[in-house]
Amino acid sequence: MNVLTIRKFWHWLLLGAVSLVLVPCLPAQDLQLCTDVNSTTGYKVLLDDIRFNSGATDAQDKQLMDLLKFQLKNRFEDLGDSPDARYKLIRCSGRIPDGEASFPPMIVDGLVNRDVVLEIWGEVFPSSAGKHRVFLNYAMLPLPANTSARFLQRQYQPKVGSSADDIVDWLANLNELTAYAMVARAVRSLATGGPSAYDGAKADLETASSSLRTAFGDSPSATQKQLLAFLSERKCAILHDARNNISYHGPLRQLPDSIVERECPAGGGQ
Amino acid sequence: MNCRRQLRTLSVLAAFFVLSQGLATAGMIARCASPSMFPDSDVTVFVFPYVDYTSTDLSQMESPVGTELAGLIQADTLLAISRFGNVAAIRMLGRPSECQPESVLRDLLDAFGSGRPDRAVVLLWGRIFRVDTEIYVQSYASFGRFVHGDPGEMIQLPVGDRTLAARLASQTLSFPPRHVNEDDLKQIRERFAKENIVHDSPDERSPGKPLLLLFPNDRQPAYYMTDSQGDWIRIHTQTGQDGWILARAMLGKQTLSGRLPEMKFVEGVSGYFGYRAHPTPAKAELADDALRTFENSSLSATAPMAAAVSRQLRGMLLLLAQGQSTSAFDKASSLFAEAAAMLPSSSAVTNMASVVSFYSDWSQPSPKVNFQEAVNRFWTSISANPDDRMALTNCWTLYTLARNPAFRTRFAFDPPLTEQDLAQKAQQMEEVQLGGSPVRLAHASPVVPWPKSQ
Repeated sequence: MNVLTIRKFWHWLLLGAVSLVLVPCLPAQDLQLCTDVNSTTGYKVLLDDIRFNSGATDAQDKQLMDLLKFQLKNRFEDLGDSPDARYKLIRCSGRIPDGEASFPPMIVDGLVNRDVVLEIWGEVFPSSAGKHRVFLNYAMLPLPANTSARFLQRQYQPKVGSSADDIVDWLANLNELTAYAMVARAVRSLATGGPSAYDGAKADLETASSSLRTAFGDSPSATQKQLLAFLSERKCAILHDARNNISYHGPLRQLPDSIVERECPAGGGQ
Repeated sequence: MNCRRQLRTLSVLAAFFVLSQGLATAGMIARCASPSMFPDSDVTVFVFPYVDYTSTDLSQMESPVGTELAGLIQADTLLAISRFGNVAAIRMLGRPSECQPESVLRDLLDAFGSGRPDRAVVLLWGRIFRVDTEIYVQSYASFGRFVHGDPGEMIQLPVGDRTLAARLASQTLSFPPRHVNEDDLKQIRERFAKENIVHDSPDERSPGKPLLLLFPNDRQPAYYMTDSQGDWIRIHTQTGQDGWILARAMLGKQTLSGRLPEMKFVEGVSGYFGYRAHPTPAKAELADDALRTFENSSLSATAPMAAAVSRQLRGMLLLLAQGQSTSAFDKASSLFAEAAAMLPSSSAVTNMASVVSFYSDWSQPSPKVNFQEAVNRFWTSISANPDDRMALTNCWTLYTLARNPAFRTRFAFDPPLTEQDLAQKAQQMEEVQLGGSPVRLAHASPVVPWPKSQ
């Protein structure tokens, strides 16, 4: 090996080392707008910007957006969970992900490892045909990468010109907001806690299923169906594991067959 | 406790001595930093200043709007709950950092917690959010017995030699935001200014002076209600003065409780506790009416937890008011079932519906109870929330009950279960662990036990 080769070797080694240092920093770079992510312990929900598509805003649009942010904050702070399971809402001003493309695996891993379970951002379109169009994007980051519902966009249509009471009622009815966080928390806790997380995760998934079934209505979209199916599959996986994992000694192990068969008709619990 | 606080406590205790003679309905204004109460009241509603989140600065100070709104709510609540007997409504004052309901309650328990454990408290707090000229008010309520570590309100029903128990879905609730506008705000201030005046007679034109002027030299503003007339209440202060206060809060032509229906919920909860302390049919009816009004308001549709708890409370009141008769159980069962339909994933709600339904069947003399159906209802609650010890204990109770030869004949077993099967299942349940520790299959005792059925 001559000197040049050695130099080249060190050159590439140095580049590699720099890359290794920089790549893990990429998520941190994106998260600079959310420095609290690194300093806040526990499960976290990131609330990014909710912006206007047109740029121009009138008073009514601004009212809708401010109320939306306020309601999101209320929803996540009001959950009466035990302190260790409680969500911390982190407001990420100026952060607007560009859809799923903004979440390559390394970024997702960085966020999930910091216990970020849900990221929300959105867009409000100018009113047309008497209705606003509000798009909220939910990134349930701990869900497996092959779950198509990991990134879910929901469209809402509050009436334009409706009274402030109507807007407040519309926001108050968005029970699904916390359901997404519960789904993600269940998946994350199962990944980190194993059998000790079965009980809490099952409760989260049950509550989330109930809220989402109501929110999605009688004709859920394909993605929504996939999310509901994912929840059912996870619940059944918990029931199955609870029966078979010898380190689990909780109540789910004792569920009668008839209950398991009713919850998992396809034999998921067997 | 510092000197000033001791003096304050002594002055309040002196007031109690005076006020407790024939005490019925009492009001007070107290600082969160040195909270006080009437320790003999059966039910005390504490109304905290609403925190104004209009700006960061305002959210850290004692907001005029939030304070005045709390003042209106306290006076209105005092009038509303006066029908429930020995009750009090206390308006708290202070900065948000001082007025954290949990820490104020802790201070109150330290100072006054050694009295009767059956006393109850209802805490009401909230926040105000403003967008331009629109204002939004959101309330929170928490209620329970005035003791450390209250296990909560429960139904306890005897089955054989055992007891089934059920608790409310939650005793801390958040209500959806309500909208008020700038005019409402103005009216809140105007009405508060009026309500803060103690008049010679129940007439706004009669001479009067501000309430706080009746308490010179830093005396604790404490008074009790001696009479009411329409929207007015007559008060007697600890300083020995009498007068009339306009208590019914209005926003325009609408009552404040019409705009903030959660006040009806608070009234109903106070009525429940008032009934439990000294039961009369009228109290049960008034409490039921207040809760029903809350349920029929537009607010309840967006507050499923509060709406479910309201039905549970009405069901409990109905059972008690009608002596836990068979027909009372029939009627109450539908209320508990309604609550369960509203919150199917809440194990506490489904457990209460299951307990009442089972007891209804069990108390019938002739037909046998289908064991599997009954036990599966509890298993469904456990599956929804494996951490629900009460549902778990109820489930185990049914297995142990069915094992007992004295009661085994009351059940029909389909599929068939031998005594050995039942014993094995009961044994397995006794070995269950929750949070890594063996579960204790025994119900907590409520502070005020559920009356035995006739």
